[in-house]
Amino acid sequence: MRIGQPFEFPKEQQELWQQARRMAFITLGVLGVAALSLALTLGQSQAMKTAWVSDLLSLVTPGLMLVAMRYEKRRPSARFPFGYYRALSVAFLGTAAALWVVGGWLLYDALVKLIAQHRPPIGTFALFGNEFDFWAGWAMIGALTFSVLAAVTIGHLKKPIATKLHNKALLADADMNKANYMSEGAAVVGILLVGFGFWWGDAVAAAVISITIIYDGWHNMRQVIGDLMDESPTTIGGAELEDLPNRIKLAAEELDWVESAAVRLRESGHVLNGEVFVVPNDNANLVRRIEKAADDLRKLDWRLYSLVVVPVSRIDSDAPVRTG
Amino acid sequence: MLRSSLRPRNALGVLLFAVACGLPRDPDRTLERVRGGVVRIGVAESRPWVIVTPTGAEGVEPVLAKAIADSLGATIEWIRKSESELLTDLSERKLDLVIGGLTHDSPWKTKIALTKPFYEDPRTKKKHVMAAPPGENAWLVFVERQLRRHQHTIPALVRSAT
Repeated sequence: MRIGQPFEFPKEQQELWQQARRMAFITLGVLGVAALSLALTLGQSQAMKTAWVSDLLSLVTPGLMLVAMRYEKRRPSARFPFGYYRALSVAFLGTAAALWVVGGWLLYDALVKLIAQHRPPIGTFALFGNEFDFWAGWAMIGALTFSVLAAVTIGHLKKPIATKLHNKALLADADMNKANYMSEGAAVVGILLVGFGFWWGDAVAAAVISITIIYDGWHNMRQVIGDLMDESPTTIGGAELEDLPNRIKLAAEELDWVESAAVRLRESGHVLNGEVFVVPNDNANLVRRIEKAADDLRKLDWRLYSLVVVPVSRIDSDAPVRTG
Repeated sequence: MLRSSLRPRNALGVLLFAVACGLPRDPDRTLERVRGGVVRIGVAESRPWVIVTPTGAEGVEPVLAKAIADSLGATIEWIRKSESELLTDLSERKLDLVIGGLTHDSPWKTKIALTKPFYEDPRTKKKHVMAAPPGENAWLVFVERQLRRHQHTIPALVRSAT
C-alpha cells in the first residue's frame, strides 16, 4: 500500500505534460501579442473593445494553468493526503467565474450602447509619420485577423495533446481558442457594418461576442462541475461514462478467490481514484491477495492512482456502477 | 482542414469587395450632402484658435475649416454659440463640424467624434483637434485627411495668430 506517494506519469504522458506546459507559455506569448495588436487599433468601437477583453480573458486560462501545474505535481501532504490533482479544476473554476462576470458586464455595456444609439466614430489610421493613411477599420480588421489565426492555430496544436493526456481542462482551453473565430469574426462583421454606414453593427457585434464569452464560462464550468462532483470517469471530448469501472469489476471477479466485486471511481484532475469492493470465497492469505489485486488492477489504466481493494461479506447493490 | 483552406480566401474576397465599395460610408450621408452644398460649422471663441467675428470667424482653425470647405466646393454657414451648446448640437448631428480650441482629452469625446490631432502645442503639450458628428465616418476620414494635408502649414499659422 502506498500512501503519500506522488502520482508518476508514464514516460509518454510525462513528455505530453511538458508539451502542454510549453503550449501554455506559447499561448501566453502569442495571444498576448494578439491582444496588444487589438489594443493599438481599438479606437471607440465597442466590438473591438469586447474582442480585446475576450483576448485578454483567453490569457487567464493558460496563466492559471501554469500556476496549477506547479501545484499539481506536489506530493500529497498531511493536510492534503489525496494530493493536489484537482488544482487544475480550481483554476478552471476561477476562469469560469471571471468569464461570467466580465462577459455579463460587457453584454450590459453593449446593450446600453445599442439603446443609447451610440454611433462609433472610426477615422483614419496613419503610418510612417502621417505619410500614409487609411480607414482605421482596416487596421482593426487586420488585427482581428491576426488574432483569430493565432488563436485557432494554437487551439489546433493543443487539442491532440489534451486528448492524449486525457486532460479535460486542457481540452476546454483548446476548444476555447478554436472557438475564437466566432468572436473575432463577429467583430469583423461589426466593423464592416459600421463601414457600410450601419452604426448599430458595432454594438450588436459586441453583444454577440459577450455572449460567446459567457458561453465559454459555461463550457469551463461544466468541465469543473463533473470533477468536483466526483463524476465517474467520462470519455474525453464527450459526456459518456467510460467502461473502465466495469472492466476493473470483471478483472476482479476473474480472480479465483473473489466471489463478486463492485467498483466506484472518480476523477481528480487527470488521475483516477476509487474503491474495489470484493466478496472473497476463500479467506486464506487474504491480506496478501488484496494487496496483489490492488497492484494488478491499477495496471489496467495509467491514470489509476489510489485504488483501494476492500473485502466485504456481501454486496447489496452495484447500482452505482453502470456499464459504458 | 477544409475550413482553414477556405477562410483566408473568403476573407480576402470580402475585403476586396469592401474596398471596391469605398468604405467607410456615413449613416447620414454628411459627406455627400456637404459636397457642393453647405457645411454647418459651429464656432466658439478660443484665442488664438478661433476668433469669432460679426460675419464668421478668424484664427488658425477657421483657416483650416475654410480649406476643407473649399476642397468640397462648399459654402460655410457659421453658427456662433457657447462650446457646450455647440457640442450638444453636434452630438445630435445638427452640425457638421465644431471648432473652438478643442483638445484630444475633451470630456465630450465619447459623445462626438474628435479628429486625429492636427497640432501639438509645444508649450502645453495639448493636442488640438476638431469635432465631427458621431459615426459619420466618411466625413470624419475626409476631414482628417484634409487636416493632414495642411499639417505643414499649421505651425506658421499658429505663430502668426499669437
